Amino acid sequence: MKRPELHVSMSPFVHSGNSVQKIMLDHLLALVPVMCAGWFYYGLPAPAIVLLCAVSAVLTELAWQKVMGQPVRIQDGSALVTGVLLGLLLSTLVPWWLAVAGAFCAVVVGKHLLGGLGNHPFNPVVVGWTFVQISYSGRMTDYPIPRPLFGLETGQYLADPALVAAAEDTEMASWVPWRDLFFGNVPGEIGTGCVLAILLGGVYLLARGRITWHIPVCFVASAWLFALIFWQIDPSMYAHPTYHVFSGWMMLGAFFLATEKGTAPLGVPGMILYGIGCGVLTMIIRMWGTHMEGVPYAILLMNALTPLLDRVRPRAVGRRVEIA
Amino acid sequence: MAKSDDSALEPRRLPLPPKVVLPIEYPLGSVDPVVKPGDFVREGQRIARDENGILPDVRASIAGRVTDIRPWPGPLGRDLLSVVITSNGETGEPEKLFEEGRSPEGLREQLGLISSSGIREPDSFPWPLFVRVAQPALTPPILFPFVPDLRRPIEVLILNGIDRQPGVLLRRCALHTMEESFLEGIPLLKALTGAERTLLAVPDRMVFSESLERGVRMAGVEIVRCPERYPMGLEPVLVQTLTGREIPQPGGDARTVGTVVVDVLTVSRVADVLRKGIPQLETLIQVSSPSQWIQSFVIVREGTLLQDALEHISPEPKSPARVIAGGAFLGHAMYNLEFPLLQQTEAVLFQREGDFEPYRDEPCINCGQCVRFCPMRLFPNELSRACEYGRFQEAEAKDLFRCIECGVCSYVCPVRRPMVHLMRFGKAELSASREEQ
Repeated sequence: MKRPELHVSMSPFVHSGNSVQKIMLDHLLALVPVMCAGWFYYGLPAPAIVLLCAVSAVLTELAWQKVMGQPVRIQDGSALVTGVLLGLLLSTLVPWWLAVAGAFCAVVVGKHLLGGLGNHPFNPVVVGWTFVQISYSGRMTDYPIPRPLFGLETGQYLADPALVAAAEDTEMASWVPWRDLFFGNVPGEIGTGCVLAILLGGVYLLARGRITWHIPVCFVASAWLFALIFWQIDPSMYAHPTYHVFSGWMMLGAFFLATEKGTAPLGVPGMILYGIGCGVLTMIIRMWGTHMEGVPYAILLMNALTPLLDRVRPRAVGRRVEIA
Repeated sequence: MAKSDDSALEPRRLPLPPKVVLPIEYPLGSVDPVVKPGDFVREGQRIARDENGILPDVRASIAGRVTDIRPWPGPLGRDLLSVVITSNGETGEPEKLFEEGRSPEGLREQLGLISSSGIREPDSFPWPLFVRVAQPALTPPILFPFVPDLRRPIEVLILNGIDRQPGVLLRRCALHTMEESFLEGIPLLKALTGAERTLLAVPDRMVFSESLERGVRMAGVEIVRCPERYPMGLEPVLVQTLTGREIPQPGGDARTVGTVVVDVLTVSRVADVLRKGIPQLETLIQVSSPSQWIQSFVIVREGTLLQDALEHISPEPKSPARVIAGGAFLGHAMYNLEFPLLQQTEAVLFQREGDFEPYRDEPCINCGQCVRFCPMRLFPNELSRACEYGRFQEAEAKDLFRCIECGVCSYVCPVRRPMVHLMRFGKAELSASREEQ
């Protein structure tokens, strides 16, 4: 053999082929059932809003990276997922400019100003949502009555279940059959209602190894237990715990929002504490707060605690226990 | 790649090479050559020895003339002081370690033979084999002040049948083709170590031949099937999986927790040395190029240059862009084909252009994959960032020196950060600053 020209580099010389694109593709696939459920209950405006958010998020990122002279990385799909998730958190009755404003804020403020992909302290989707929620709260809480396709029966209640719970009107809440809550046949945002669709997506993410079970399970379980305690104390004041976990943002938040890269702890003890914190804060805000829905604020608060929670880490293998 | 057909694992012996290059430098230090350029050496003749009797001897793997003693690229990517021997074409009987029919019974004598026989191990153990497998009563007392752990009795002897890295099948090959000497080696090592328990770790799906399984059980060895998930074959992970004992890092080895790990190929080499008196002048090498469907096992003289060996390997791997001594995870990319094949080398991997896209200098996205798969329970994301930005003290406080450089974090990283590179950089900087002080 002639003297070949050889490359040298550091080990290893093999790679799993994992990439940001593949991670984001899995997140998008996991959101497909949620998007379909939104379409099913709220008709064509649902995919239109989601698409609008997605396109504006991607274009915002493109513009930002061009203006800042950064390499353009829109093809990694992270802005697309941010946009889709934000769209799923909006009601179909919001005006188009509100969706665009939310996506802009999510990408610019939530993601790029605070450090870029994976290095932003707060979940950009929730940041974007919080911005439009605080600025235009009247328009944000205008929810459509679900009109399922194929002539299925529509739900008989007028308010968002989270709103019902916040009003501590347990009598009204008890009207809502759990079956309707589970299938999402209630007024609400495009993507938060259908527990079944979200669970399908969540299980897909778990199976693909994109998220681990710790955060979603601890989130939902701690919220359920916390609600159970107060429901046991006074069922006339507090809603049933299962009602709480099936309603509002709980499931979407636990599987898709709380697990966002860079905003959640990475160690197992940290993830468990983070999940519990999210669940308990959500219930505190829902039961006694001024906001109807506790999930986004609980996630933002716990995001801020993430650097601290990541200090709670398992002992490295082989670390000698130092005795003071 | 892993064929169930055992004939694929049958190694082929290559003809004598025109010259060999034998390093006389070890991680612990170098040994003194007892020959000088121009000398004629016989096959198996001792060409370098350690004054203190700790480092193993080096033996000539072919007969010929010593033409040079100079630094030469070694298996770890660094240049090592080496003796170059040019063959005179003779294929005489190699010098035996002892006379026919007189096998050494004394344990001390056996350890001495292991030390001078030319056995090398592929794992980067800090101490030579004869030190590691010696029970405290047999250990040279001169070592105790340096390595107090050697005073500790060996409770568990672990025979490692799990290959170090994916794609390398050397130990599987050894279990299939060197069954007889492997079985002979077990009681020898049991006697030397004085271990109470002996375990044989094998991949969970390995198929045992009936005679091997019976022989192993007769020898009083427990067979433990381990999931063949990298880095299971590496010492710290294997010891922890099998015994639950954690090797303290840095500075600890298996002896610290009362165990010793010997790979199966070395077991059969020990038997060849102690039963037949054959010095270990040959090396089993796996040559592979997965993208060209090439995988062969060859036996060459220790120190044969890859260039010379390739002339006899067919099919020959074509147009390599990267030649890696070692395997895909732990190997070192070499800058030419003129490096010696040694027992430490294990495997040579050829990659063509496009087989592997190199790692890139991208920012971490905190996805947590590396944290999830790190066998040492470290946070490689934080470590790599600390090393990248020169915050070495912080990296050390976050257990940088407990990293075993297995490369799993690089493997799973979605942005392809050069994790191992950064860890080694941090370690090197810290060691350098410590030496300055």
